[in-house]
Amino acid sequence: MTWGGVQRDETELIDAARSGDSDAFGQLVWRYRDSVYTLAVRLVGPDLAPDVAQEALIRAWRAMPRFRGEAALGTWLHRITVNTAWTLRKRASRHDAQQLDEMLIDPSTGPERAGELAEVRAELGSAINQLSPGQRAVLVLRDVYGWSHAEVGRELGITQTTAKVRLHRARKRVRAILEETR
Amino acid sequence: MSNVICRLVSMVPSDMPLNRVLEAHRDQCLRCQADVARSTGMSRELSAMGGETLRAPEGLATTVMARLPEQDGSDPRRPLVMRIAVRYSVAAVIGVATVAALIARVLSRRPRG
Repeated sequence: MTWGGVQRDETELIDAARSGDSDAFGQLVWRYRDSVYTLAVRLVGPDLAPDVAQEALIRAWRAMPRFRGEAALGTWLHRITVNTAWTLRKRASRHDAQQLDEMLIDPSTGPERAGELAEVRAELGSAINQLSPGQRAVLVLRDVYGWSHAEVGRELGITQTTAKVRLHRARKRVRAILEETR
Repeated sequence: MSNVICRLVSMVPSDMPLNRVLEAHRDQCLRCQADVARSTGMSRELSAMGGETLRAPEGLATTVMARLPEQDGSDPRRPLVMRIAVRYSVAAVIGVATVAALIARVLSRRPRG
């Protein structure tokens, strides 16, 4: 990533963005857009994900002066994305019937492997899609992104116990759906 | 009986330890072992999804940059904080109303002298 011909590291970009430098923020957006979009797709599906990603990045810009660097920028952006997806979940629920095939194909793999993967992931994605928004969020954050129960609870505004119960139910439901389809 | 124990084993979340009886059953029950293998496989598939990054739609970054408002240092978690505050406020109001109703009821039953 260059900046006027000079390599700028992420800390510099963050400092500049915190001071209101929108060009620096633009470079951060460029770096993190795929990761934010991917999480949004997992949480709300491909139809609403661009809106969630956009809104999350705009919220991040507004909040940049508050960013203290206690967590990595990527983690902070993910938290904002989760919150944005969660607050927009009523809109998301209207799109839940949509198939997730589109989100499940990894373009970086070869065509044969991609075909197999796409099939497995399509089944998994379709099963995740049938979960309630609460179960889906817990499953994605814990099992796909590896967040701790404490982080999941904090970000979703629920207790750790609730998070664990939802996760257990979500896993059972996904397994039941997969067993029906396989 | 074995069927019941199989169901008990399946009801315990995978990240919680089983007690000795259930663990001994699982270790010798083919059905439970197949169940554990399916769970492990699913966890692996889910975890693998976390390592993938999807390509954001063309124009996402441009749209974001075109829509940037003034920076105001607002808390991106505010909607969540508000939701929790509202939830606790409602619970507090219900609690106070219940206590007030109970007190009123007790007072109304007291013999007036």
